Amino acid sequence: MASRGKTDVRVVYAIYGALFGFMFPIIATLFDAFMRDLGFGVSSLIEAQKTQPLHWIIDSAPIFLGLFSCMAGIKQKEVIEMNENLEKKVEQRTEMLHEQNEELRVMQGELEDGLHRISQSINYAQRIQDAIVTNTQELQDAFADSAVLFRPRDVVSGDFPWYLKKGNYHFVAAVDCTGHGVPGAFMSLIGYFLLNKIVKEQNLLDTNEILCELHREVVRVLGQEADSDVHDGMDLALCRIDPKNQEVMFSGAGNPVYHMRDGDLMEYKADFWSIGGTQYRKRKPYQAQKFHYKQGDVISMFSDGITDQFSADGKDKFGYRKLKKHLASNHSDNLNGVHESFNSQMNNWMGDHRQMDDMLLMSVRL
Amino acid sequence: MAESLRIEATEDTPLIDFDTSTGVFKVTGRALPEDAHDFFKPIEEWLQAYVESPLAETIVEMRIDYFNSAATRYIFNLLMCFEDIVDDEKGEVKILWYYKEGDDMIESKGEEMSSILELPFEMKTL
Repeated sequence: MASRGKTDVRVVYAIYGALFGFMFPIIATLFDAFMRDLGFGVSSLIEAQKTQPLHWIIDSAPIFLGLFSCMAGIKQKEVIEMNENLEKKVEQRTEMLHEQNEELRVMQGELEDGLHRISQSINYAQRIQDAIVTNTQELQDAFADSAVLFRPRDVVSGDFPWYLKKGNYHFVAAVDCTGHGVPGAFMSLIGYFLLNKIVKEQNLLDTNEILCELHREVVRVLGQEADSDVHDGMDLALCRIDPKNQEVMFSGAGNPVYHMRDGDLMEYKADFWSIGGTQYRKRKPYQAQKFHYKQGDVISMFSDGITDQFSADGKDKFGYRKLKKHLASNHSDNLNGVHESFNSQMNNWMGDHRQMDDMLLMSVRL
Repeated sequence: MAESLRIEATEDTPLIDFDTSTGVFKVTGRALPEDAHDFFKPIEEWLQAYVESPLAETIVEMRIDYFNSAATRYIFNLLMCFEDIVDDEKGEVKILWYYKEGDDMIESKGEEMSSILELPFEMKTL
């Protein structure tokens, strides 16, 4: 305690104790002199002391009280020192917290800065992806009543709709690349350009051959023949629409196609094998299925981000049944409206649950 | 005997519990790792070593309630490792594929895998 100055608290306590102790012999001697009528002169007080041995005991009071007091002083000093230590520690801690706080603030700033730059970069990437991969204008020009519901999980997406006209054929595919976000978007570019190349330049027109070639090309492009660490690839449903013969040819890698007519829904299942990767040692060539359509029929394709989406409570997945029911029961409505109402159904379904994967739903009225 | 392999579950990755003292290999939970390769590669490597000298009987219990498309590939890959045990007649393997009643996604994935894998495969509802 600074206010005590430099005087040791033990000495102060001893002096106060001794001074207090002096009161006893003084009062005792005065009282004795008064009782014995000796008067209050110095000699009479000395006389009182000399003749009464009890005084000698009382005279020791300053010594004992001084000692006791000194002991109390020692304790007091310890308490003071402890307090001082504590205060020092509190000060040190406060200072440390302050420093840590400061560091955190700097770190937060750096993180925010980094995050900002990353989001800017991803937003920019989105513009490129939008321009190339997710542009649905050509599809809409070819089929007046067609719709694409596209919900990337992050800004950029591994899902993409693909459309190409070649001769009399219209090729439509819903492609789901492994991964989402940036890695998914890389894959989507690879898929998009490979599909274009295979159909446009290599002139492969049968859907099963296109998928076989797409697989070979993905394996080649990603160097997956060797013992590669890249197992990525894509699932897709691919349709070739032939308006002249009113026929659809379908091949699927993982994802099926639905064919709606008058409220009925036909499902054409896909092959199990995903495109890309070498993990399937027993891979078989893709199969094709053909079916005829009538004007006004609808075909729909989708990615598993839709069917795999968890409900708000995380207990159930959206599944195929609700999707089929929605598509079949609204078959006569405008497809954009069908997709919009489907989107709200999905919003209600997922509530606050995070979106698990990219979502893509494509529908075309033939 | 090979040492057991155990990887605790996280929000995005399943529990891996390959117990070589009982021969029961469990995969339980959700599989949607941001980096599927990172998660599954060490498991695959462990399995490749295991199938060299496996137990006489291995029971694989798959209880997955979600996997994304990347994880599907790796899970199929893991199951395919067990084919080596049967091909080389080193032991017996049984896959038990569990799915929640009404979860047509997990059910159909199981059925697809079972039709391709040459392994005893049982579909079971939870």
